[in-house]
Amino acid sequence: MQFIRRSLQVLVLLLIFLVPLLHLYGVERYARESFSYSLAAQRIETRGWIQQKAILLMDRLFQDYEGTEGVISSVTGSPWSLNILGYRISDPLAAVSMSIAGSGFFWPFITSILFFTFLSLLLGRVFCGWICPYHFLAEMNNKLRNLFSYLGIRPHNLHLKRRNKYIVLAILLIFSIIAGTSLFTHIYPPLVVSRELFYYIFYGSVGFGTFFIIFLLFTELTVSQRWWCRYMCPGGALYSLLGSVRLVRMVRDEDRCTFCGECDKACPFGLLPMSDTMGMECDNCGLCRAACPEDALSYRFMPLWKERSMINERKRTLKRTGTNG
Amino acid sequence: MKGKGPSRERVQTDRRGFIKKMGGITLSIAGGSLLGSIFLRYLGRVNAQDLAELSPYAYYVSGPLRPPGAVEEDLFLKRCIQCFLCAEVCPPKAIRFVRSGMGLKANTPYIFPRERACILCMKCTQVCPTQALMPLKEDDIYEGKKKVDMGTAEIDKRLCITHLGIGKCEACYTICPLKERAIVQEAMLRPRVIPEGCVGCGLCEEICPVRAKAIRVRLPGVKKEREVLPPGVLYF
Ligand code: SF4
Ligand code: SF4
Ligand code: SF4
Repeated sequence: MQFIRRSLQVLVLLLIFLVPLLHLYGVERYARESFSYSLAAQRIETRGWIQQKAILLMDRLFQDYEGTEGVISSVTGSPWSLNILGYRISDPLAAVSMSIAGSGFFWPFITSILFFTFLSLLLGRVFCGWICPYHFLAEMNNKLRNLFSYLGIRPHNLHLKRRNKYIVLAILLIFSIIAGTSLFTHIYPPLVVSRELFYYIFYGSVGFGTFFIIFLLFTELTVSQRWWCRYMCPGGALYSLLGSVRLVRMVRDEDRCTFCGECDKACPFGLLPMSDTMGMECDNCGLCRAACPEDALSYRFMPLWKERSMINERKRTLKRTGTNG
Repeated sequence: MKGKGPSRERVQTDRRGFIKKMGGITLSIAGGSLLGSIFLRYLGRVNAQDLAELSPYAYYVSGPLRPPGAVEEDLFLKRCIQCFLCAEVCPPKAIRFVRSGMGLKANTPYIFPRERACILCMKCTQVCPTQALMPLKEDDIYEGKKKVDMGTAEIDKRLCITHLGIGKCEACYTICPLKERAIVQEAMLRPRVIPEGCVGCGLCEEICPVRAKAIRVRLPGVKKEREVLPPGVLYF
């Protein structure tokens, strides 16, 4: 399962890297056909090494191929708003922030968020763990952090309140209304990562977003483990809210659990599967399941009320007997 | 948190400091955006292209030239989700993005015609997911301002080679995709723009051989929500 998840994450990273290159090749093809002097100049001069190599490669790939235009236009965008084979998939945060900034409800766009919305209603923050490109970078970053701890350098680990991210979501929504434009677009990491990659590939320069991402990664390395996703991300907050009624969740099997605490250590979001506090914040990364030596954790179909009653039941047993289970 | 007395205290003061810092950052972002939006409203009255020569910052915030099909500026900012789809499909790469740090308009698409003009292929308008750019067809340019309204070209007679009588340059007339509708030649081949027909693509500005550009695209004074809304309006 970790293999599938990693492949999907790498696939998404590849997508946000290759799609701009593909479209850059489209620009190149247009420039070759046109007689405009400024376009010709553009063609030769302002391309970086990666771009040049990619264009040469695609030249070889698409040699003698008729449907190049079709291939190029078949996929556009990033997970924030993807246009693939005529289907649109967008981030729920895009629709929410845009509608609340005062654009009104635009139904074709609202329908394009249904995919991620249903996925979240079913699985909670599955976008975070399986698709978000920033999450992947942060996980790699976390590996580095673990390496530091292993070498004996203990980075700080600040804990903030989990509800901070809902506050951030609320504040930014309110200020989006006041400003009359969506403010999430400046700080929402999955969008920022893909946009900066796009800027680099298309225009050869990057914007403020890159520094923002570097800042996040650096502070996550030194000050507070995964603080952005755990405590701050407004997108994560929205997905958590959608996931509060999730139908499939990670459930601990009490009979098997030996309370070794491996799962608590493994959770990148700082949740505590051993004390059943996963709920709406779990991103389905499955690391706790992989870490458990007794196979006590598994995905189960379990609506909200059942989970509640189960946890209450467990608490009562704990109080009565003084032991777990 | 396991740790002994003193270290826990330190963590707590650290945490408090961190929260304070985050609060400060949030407040300053909020305050900045509030002040910024007031500033933007004020600057919005000034003609953007005049400012472009003075400072790019002023150009960005006062209303850069938007891609074809763009709705009126306030509404555009509300609708655009900064997904960069439009720039990806633009064949001549005419669409650029307002640099970050340029207020609330950061990362929205614009066109700077003197460097790369729009060829009116209308691909961007069809790919935009939110109708920040209203969907248009390629033929729509023949209806002029009624459908496509990016701006209006204006000739500066003090700079134009033909108007000055130095030579007979026909560059802008030759390149215009709307000859006789948007631009006509008068006596001595002097070009004249017809504002109703001009869609503001900026091809003339791009090709003008005068370095300071004798023909420039300026923003229209008032952009209404144009009649390109598809039947059965999809916005509620
Ligand atoms: S919390 Fe935000 S940044 Fe983190 S994985 Fe989820 S969407 Fe990505
Ligand atoms: S109409 Fe075509 S050339 Fe003009 S901005 Fe849009 S995509 Fe670019
Ligand atoms: S495609 Fe539309 S929403 Fe996306 S950046 Fe361009 S104008 Fe904005």
